Amino acid sequence: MNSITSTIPLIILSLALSGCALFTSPYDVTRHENFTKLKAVHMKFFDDWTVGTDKTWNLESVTSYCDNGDLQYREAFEYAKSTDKSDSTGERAVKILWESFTSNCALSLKKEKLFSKVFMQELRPEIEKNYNYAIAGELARVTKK
Amino acid sequence: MTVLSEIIDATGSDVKQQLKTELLDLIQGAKSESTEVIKETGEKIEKWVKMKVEGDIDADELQELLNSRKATVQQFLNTQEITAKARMEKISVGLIDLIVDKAMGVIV
Repeated sequence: MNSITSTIPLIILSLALSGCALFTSPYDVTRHENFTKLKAVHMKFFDDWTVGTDKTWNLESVTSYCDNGDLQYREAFEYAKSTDKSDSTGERAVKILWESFTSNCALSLKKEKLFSKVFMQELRPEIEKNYNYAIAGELARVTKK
Repeated sequence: MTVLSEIIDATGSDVKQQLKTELLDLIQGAKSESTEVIKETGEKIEKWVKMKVEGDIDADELQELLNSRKATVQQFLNTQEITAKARMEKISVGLIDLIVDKAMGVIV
C-alpha cells in the first residue's frame, strides 16, 4: 500500500512534466553538424587573416569570406529556428556564434590589416570554447528513438 | 593587491575612485568564485586589461576580447539550460517508461 501511495504522486509529477514546456528540443544531427561546420569557417578565418601566414590583408578577399560566412550562419540559424519548437536554445546558440563571427569580421575590416599573433592567442581559444559549449549543448539533448 | 589594482594605481589619475573600487571588487569576487567559468572570466579580464596597459593589444582588441568573453558566458548559460532541461526529461520519461513497462502490474 505504501509503495502505491508514494508512486502515484511521482506518476502525476512525471506526466505533468512531460507535457509542459520545461523540456528542450531533442538532439538534431544537422544542427550538430552545422556547429562543427561553422567552427571550421570561423577558425579558417583566423588562420587566413592572422600574421604568420603568407597572405597579405586584402579588402576584397576578407569581405568575400565574411559575406559567404554570414550566409552559412544565416542558414544554420534558420534551420535551428525551424527545428527548435520547444524553446529557443538551439537558435540562441547559433545566434551567439553568428554575432561573434560578424564582430570579428568587422574588426578585421576596421583595422585593414592581419590580426596580431598576441591578440589571436587570446581570441582564438575564447571563440573555440564558445563553439565547444554549443556542441556540448547539442550533445546533451535527449535522443529520440 | 591584485595586478589590476597595481595597474590602475600606476596609470589612473583619470579613473574615478568609486569605479575603481567597484571594478576591483567585481574582479576579485569573480576570481574567488568556485564556478570555473566565473573565476576564469575574472582572471582573463585582469590579464587583458594588463595587456592593453602594456601595449600588447589596442583598445579595439580589448573590446573584442571582452565581447567574446561575454558571448562565451552566454553560450555557457544556454548550454546549462539545455543540459538541465534534457536531464529533467530523461528522468521523468525514464520514470514513466519504468512504470508503464515494468511496475504497472505490481501497482494496479
